[in-house]
Amino acid sequence: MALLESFRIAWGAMLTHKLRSLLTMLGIIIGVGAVVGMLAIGEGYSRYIDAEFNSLGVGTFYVNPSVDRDADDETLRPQLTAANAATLMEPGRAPAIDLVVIELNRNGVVSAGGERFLFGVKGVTPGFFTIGAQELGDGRYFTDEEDLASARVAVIGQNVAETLFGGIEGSVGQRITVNGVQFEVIGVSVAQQSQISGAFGRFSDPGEQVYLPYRTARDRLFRNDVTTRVDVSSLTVRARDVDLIDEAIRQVTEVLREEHRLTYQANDFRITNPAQLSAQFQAITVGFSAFLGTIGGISLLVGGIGIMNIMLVSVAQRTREIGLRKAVGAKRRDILLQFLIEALVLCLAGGAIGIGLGYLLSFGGTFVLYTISQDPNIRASVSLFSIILATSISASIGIFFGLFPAIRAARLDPIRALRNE
Amino acid sequence: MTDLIVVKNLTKVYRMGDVEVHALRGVSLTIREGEMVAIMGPSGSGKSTLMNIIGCLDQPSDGAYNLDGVSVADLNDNQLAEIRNQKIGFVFQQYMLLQRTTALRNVELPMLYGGKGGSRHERAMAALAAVGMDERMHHKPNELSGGQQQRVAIARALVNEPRIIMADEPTGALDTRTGEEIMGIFQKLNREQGITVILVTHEHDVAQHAERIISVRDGIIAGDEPVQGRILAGATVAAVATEAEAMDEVAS
Ligand SMILES: Nc1ncnc2c1ncn2[C@@H]1O[C@H](COP(=O)(O)OP(=O)(O)OP(=O)(O)O)[C@@H](O)[C@H]1O
Ligand SMILES: [Mg+2]
Repeated sequence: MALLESFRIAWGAMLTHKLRSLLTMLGIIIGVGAVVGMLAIGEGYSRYIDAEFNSLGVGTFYVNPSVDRDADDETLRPQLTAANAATLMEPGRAPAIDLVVIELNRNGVVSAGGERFLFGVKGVTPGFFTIGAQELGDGRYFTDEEDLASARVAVIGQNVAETLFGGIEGSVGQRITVNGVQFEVIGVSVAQQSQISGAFGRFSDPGEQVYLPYRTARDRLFRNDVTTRVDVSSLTVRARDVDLIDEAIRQVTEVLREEHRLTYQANDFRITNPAQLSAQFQAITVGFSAFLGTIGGISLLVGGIGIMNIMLVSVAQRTREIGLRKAVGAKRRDILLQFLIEALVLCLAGGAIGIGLGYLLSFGGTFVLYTISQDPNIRASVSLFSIILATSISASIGIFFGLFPAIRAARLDPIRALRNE
Repeated sequence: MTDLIVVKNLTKVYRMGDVEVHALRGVSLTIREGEMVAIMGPSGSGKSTLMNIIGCLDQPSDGAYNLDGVSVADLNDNQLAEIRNQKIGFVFQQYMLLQRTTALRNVELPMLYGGKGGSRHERAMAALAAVGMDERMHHKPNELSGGQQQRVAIARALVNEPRIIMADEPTGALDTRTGEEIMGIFQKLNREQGITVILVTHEHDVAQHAERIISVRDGIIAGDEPVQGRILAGATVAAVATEAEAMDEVAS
């Protein structure tokens, strides 16, 4: 019998029992919807995490002067200095790295002549502005020369500019005092705060910062606030290549231990690798996927059994029809195919509605992702792959669970079937 | 005329647990091509069982059955289905039409499983015309009277141009007048197209439309005689005769 005819019959049978068909499909609809939605949201979330970590700087890691709490050594004191940073950059010491940025983070009283405000003060080496998602609103960043010369120049964050000067415009060239020391504003940074920077103890909003050359900050503002053991808040190290990050961490550890003359002791510094955290964040996706995947799987199983059940009912109700078809020449294969295609059409229709449900879930996912990322590019979108996957799953369920009823129909004895009341 | 159906010592035993039911206990008969035969007998005598075997819906327990020179006992399921599709048209007491399907589509049904070529649509319409139902081809069974439904069923039996039409109590659910019309159609098909017609009936009046009556009793043949004073369905036959030409045109 022509396949097309079987599909036509199956379609007709489905439409004659609209409500029954819909209820039968429910498991498939929910299952497919959960799978499609899961894939879309998981993908979107994963992209979001990637984007967040990229905004921190690709291939970078942090070194802080901090002793591991678990280190069973009372005498160990944190140690990390600008001299260490210089040593790391000496040729041959840590060949896997290509940049070390020094940060010294404090607070300061900032004023542009009138009212005084408390803002974060970051003494940084100029390399700071080359890492991660930096954006200059106006003016320029300071240079290595200005850093080495402890020049009294400042780059201010957006909110600082707004507080002091009512906006970014006109801020460059103004004079401000930080803890009583005069600075010239040479640039305004409009960098946005990363959503996950808090995970590294970096809660400071870049808009609320005054950026000074590191040496200026250390020597002119916080001289009494640093020691020979610790005169930096952190070093940000960039590996030559993302793939070299583990090697870079190993080399940095080795150099610092050597410089700090550590032998059997634990580290007196701590290295944080965002990539590792990224993996942990990505693991959330796995948990989420497993959750929706389980719901999807159970629904699909229940849906498949529902299909089998309704097909058995259908075979029983249409016994006489089967007998008649056999009497007029239908072979077993024809009957088998007809009922198999009916199960298939039911499942595919359920799958199609399920894909629609998946779209709805993905819209919800996009809304949530936008709410946390504020980035319209981060979307939970249904991929062609998941549509193909959903369609194949639906088809497989139709064939798998439709096979038993179809075989039953095909095996019916025509005489008994015809006599059936 | 050639022998179309040759049955020898046919037996059929149904086993229901420990009980054996001998539905047929050695039936031998020959039906020639173009005959119109009625099978009569009391209830439970084995008429339907015999019809089912002759119609290739069932296989005998023992005995030989040759249909058109082919030994049916040697055929497998698929080959039996093919014979039913190509050589035999069935008409049932309960019409057996697909309820949610138009007359036309019902008639097209056998062609889904193998046809003789040509447009399904045209062949189905010609078959409906041959039974005078072409004007109702888009009606569904529940919009038709019993007699009309049985005509559609006959059109379905005709559509693949079978050698034999087998009808188990085709008038059993109809009133006398309508039954007479149906018998007229069978006579016309038998006379004009040479189709062999085998029908089962309880009613003597109906059997009198055939040329020959075979009586079955307790699973054996108790009588086999030509009909004396055969009834020819008159006026009603003439009414549908013109439509038969339409059928012939398409067929040729
Ligand atoms: N599938 C079956 N299983 C068991 N016994 C059967 C089966 N089919 C028929 N029989 C038995 O075989 C015998 C003949 O049945 P059959 O249907 O051929 O009778 P019939 O002459 O057609 O009767 P009726 O006029 O009532 O239709 C009966 O005794 C019946 O009970
Ligand atoms: Mg019977």
